[in-house]
Amino acid sequence: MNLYTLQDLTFSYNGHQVLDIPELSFSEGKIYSITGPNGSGKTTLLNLLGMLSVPDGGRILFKGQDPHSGNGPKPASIRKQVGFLLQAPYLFRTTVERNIGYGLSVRKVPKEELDQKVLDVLHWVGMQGMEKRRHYSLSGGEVQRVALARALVTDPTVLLLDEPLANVDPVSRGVIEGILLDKCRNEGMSIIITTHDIEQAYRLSHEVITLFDGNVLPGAMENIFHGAVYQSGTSWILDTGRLSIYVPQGKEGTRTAFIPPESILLSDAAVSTSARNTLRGRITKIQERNGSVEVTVDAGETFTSRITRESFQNMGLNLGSEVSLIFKTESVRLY
Amino acid sequence: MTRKIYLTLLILFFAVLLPGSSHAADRLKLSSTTSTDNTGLLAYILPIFEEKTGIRVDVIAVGTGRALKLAENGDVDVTLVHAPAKERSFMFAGYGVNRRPVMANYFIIVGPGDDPAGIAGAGNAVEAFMMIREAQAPFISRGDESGTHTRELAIWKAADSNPGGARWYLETGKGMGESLAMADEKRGYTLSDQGSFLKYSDKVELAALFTGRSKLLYNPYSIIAVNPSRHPHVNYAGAIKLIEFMTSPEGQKLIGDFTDGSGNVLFEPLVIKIPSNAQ
Amino acid sequence: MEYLIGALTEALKLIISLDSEVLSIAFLSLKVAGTATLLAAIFGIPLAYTIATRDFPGRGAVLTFFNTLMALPTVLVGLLGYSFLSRKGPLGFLDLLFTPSGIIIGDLILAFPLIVALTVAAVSSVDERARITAMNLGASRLQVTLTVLMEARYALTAAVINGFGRVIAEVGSAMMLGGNIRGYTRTMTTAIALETSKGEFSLAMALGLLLLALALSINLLFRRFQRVSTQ
Repeated sequence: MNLYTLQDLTFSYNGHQVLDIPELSFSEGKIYSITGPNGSGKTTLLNLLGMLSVPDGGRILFKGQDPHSGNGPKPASIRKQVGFLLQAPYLFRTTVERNIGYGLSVRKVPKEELDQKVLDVLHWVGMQGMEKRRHYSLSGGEVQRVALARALVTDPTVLLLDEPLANVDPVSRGVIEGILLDKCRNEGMSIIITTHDIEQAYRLSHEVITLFDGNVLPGAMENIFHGAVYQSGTSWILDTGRLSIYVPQGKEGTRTAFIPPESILLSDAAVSTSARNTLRGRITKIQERNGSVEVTVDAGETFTSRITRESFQNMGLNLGSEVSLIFKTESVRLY
Repeated sequence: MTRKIYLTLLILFFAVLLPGSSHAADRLKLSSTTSTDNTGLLAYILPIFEEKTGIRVDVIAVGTGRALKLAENGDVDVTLVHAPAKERSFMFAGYGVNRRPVMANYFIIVGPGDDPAGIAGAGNAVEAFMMIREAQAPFISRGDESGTHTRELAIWKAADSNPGGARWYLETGKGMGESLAMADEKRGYTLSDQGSFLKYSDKVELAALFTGRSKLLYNPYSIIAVNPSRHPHVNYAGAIKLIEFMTSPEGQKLIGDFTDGSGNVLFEPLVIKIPSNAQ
Repeated sequence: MEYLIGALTEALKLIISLDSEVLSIAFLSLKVAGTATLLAAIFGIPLAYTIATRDFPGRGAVLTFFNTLMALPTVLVGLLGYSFLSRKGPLGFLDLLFTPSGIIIGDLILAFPLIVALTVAAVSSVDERARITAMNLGASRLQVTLTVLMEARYALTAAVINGFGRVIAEVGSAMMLGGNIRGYTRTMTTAIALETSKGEFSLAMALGLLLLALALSINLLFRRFQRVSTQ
């Protein structure tokens, strides 16, 4: 059974829809990264998964049960199975020890057991001997580690982390990444992380989910372009400031376009096709990922094309090679 | 959950307040004037009554006007006041029963020792007030509907004047002690009951400038029980016991024996005449 | 000046000799102000928490209401209390006028808005993340509330001390609702007023100094509590 299943989920803030996810699911025992630019809805989604807010429309199922339906488990009881690390964690104004023991003491865990677990988890995060330190005497990375320890000490089924590795010193980052991988691999803990560091997302997680303007994008966060859409004759054009892209008929005020990397074809020769979007550029990056090859091309804007390993080899492309980019107008998605 | 907590709190709240309402027959509320309380008379006489009867007397010392108002509202059981005209209308309205004269003294006109208005030579109280008005000397009025204030207004009326609002006429709205202190500071005149002035005289430089045993300065005190047919809850039996005690030979002797620190008799018993040793 | 020194000497003498009447007056003041403050805190803090953490229509008006009541004149409370507690009033049957409970009611009316308004400010100043963090860590609604109040403990203690300070120092309502009955409803402040009116300034001064000393001890006690609770 899926850990989370989202169906027709919508969420609005101040009358403005910030999340619209027709379908999305998370399996147990995996690490997921949710990426996307600021304001794309990452934190909103995480809050919904953490049962901190209630969706405006649609359903969010936790292990097949809907906590907002009125029957079955309440959001509060699901929160007890969910560990949550805020982007800027808050430590209660007391000692490290009391902060970490908080989740256990609200669960009425006996004092001896509580003390032992607190010591164990302090050890994991490499802060043994610091249990009596007070909240204000910790560095940013230490705060992050205490907060992680506090979220882990109750052995949650799933751990939700909002930008856990932003603004953290390298030592703390290493500690945190190590713990997350270990918890998932050895204890089967499900972990969902938001981040805008795509490299890190791919390094840590089994699956990457890209959000853009509240929508889940089918690919990673490449090929997103901002600009003004205007009508020219029967054509619609997005002017990014550096170049113009033909786009499907859009509505007024659309400012963002996304092109799936699979829809961009590459050609080593100058070509003329029926496709109106044909650009020339130089290859700046070549990367193998999940059995296919991603080729990044600078054609005024940076485009990423995903092609099969076969066609990559057939074309004999190299860094710095001049290539043509071809994509259909209809493959451009407007947001 | 929250509702249960609130309910518990509410019960707690009333548990704290209700013990205060255990008003038994062994407590008596007496509204009286500051002149009887501040002179120490009540503190001297009431413990003896309490010991004899086992009734504890709670004194609420205010001006006569408010003392009567508290009695009218049934907030006290018995009242000891000194404003005959007000007492009569109080009785006439049926608010009280069993009014008994208890004791008396005289009002005196006090002022600065050098007596700028020269009232020491006045023929009577009315003349003295007229001289103060002529001299526009500061005059401190209680202005609080007390017995003293009521009498002061009666004297002004007899002098055919209405000084209210004049610059030299200052209404304090305070008790006798404070009004005396104010007269002292302002070097002005004021009407005081004898008892309060004697008690206060060592604290101010005022002199008793005009004294006399005239009807206008006569200051009798009466005790009145609150009408139990209007306020069935009052401790009427206790009130009657106090009235009985105050007018008994024992109570009257206690009043006659009560002196200030220097041996001055402050109140003359009215029911049973006892030779005074002060005059 | 000589007079003032005399009064102060007399005051110290009275305090040092621990005059039994002065002691019983001080004890009554503490009992009445303490009970009123406790009740105001017990009812006021949950109400203030609700106001601070919920959004509801008329919230601003409610806040303005309590902030205005912080300036409620004590004699007005006395007057209102009298009209309700008098035999002529709707609550006369409770027989609370001129009893210590009567003073407690007046003090409660004075302390309640103060504690509510200051607690709303205290709770509002707590970081929003404290509540969310407690929720995330599986705290129940009551546990979340207690945690947020715990985070606000300094300001909360200050709110309660302020309420206590207001009621132990007020004279208007205690005079009208208590009646300044010797040995029964005479508090420090009504005794000061009485002794002043009798011209007994040294006794009044002594009581005033004692009141200040009491206020100081209570403050020190609370400060100690603040320190202990943060260990």
